[in-house]
Amino acid sequence: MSTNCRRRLIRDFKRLSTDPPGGISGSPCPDNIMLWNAVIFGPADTPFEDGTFKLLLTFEETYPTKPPTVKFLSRMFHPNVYANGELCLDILQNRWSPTYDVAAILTSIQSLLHDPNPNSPANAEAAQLYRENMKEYVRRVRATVEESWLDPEEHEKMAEGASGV
Amino acid sequence: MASQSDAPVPQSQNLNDDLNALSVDELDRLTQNILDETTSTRPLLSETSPLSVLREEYERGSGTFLKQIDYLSSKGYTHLRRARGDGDCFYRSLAFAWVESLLTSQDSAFDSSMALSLLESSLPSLEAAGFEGSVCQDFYDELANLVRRIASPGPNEPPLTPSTLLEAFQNPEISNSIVVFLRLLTSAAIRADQDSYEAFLVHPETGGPITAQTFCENFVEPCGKEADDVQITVLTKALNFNIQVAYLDGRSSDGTVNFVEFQIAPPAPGAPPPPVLLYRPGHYDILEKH
Repeated sequence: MSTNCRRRLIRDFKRLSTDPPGGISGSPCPDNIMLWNAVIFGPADTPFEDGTFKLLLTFEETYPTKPPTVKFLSRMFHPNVYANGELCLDILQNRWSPTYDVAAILTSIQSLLHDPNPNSPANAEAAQLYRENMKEYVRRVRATVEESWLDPEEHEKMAEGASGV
Repeated sequence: MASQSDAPVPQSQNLNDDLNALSVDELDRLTQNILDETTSTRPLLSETSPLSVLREEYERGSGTFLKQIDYLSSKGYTHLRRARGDGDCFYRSLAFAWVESLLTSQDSAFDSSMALSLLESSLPSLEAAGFEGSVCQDFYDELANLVRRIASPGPNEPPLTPSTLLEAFQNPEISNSIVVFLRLLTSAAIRADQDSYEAFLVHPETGGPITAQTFCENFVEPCGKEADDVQITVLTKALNFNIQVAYLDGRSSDGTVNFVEFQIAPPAPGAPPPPVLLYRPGHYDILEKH
């Protein structure tokens, strides 16, 4: 395994565990440092408030030259999140810079919950409701917030990851 | 069939003008050449190859390019060191030329020590630009290590030689880290002096105005984004490194090649001429005299 990649992931983990930005957490699977589970807590004063949204980050040897693949495991209703949980976020695509670490990635996703960009929709329905029917948008998002608290399938995946199965 | 580029065309150093003025045919061929390079297994930076190899590649193409290559030969240039066409070619070529110039300098120990202290003194500017110190350090270390191996190699460390230097630049971890460090250095310098630079910044895609921050975030910091005149000016200044860029652009009516100096300091008396990067639309390599 590439030493740069490994060194960087270890450092990312140290930074995330000693000085975590508010409302996010993340750690590598015990048996595979290339796979990380993360949680983003829905930012206050947004429809996502109180949600505990789980994500999976998959790193390649080319990290940090290339970005990791990031997807939500929790079901999301957000203009910039595809149905399969993948995100449409510039810093994970054409604006990636190797200076972004895991904390920076998660913080960017957290602020995306705060400020969706309905102009580059990954979920057309969510984008439309966000623009035209805020009340319905909020109702749909709140449903995902409640699901995020109790989602047996996702919890099972997290447990598998944590126990190294 | 006569190629359009054989007609006299005013010289221009603006990439967009150059590209717009190309015939569709030429543009296709250029794009294809560059794509071929990108997807090939070409090393990140190659051994030098004779200019005649480059000439052969253009033999079925534009006569103007051939005339320009012959012009370079007539000026004593013999070899080309190619960088992979991955959008990082300017930074990679410049970094190699810089370290090589320290290695081959008459006063190598002194020049490399000065270069090392210049690199060290750049770290605070990166933090001031908002880059996390510990993150920058990884990228910094790879370049600083090479320079330090010239200035003061450790007891159990082989000193840097031309061949170990090339090996380092062919190693993706080292080579790409160096590219990232130079991108950060460029970005930090632009961000530190936004007011001076903003007047010169144009959006590479729309041609409209762009803020320094957006320019840096979108066109300097991400890997694979090509450098243009602003980045070249800023980075040569940050490294205190004189270079020339030779524009092999097929735009010359008389087959000459325009050399542009990015000169930071007046060259010391008796100093060798500054390294030359060879520009072809959308790509940079290193031009050498052997």
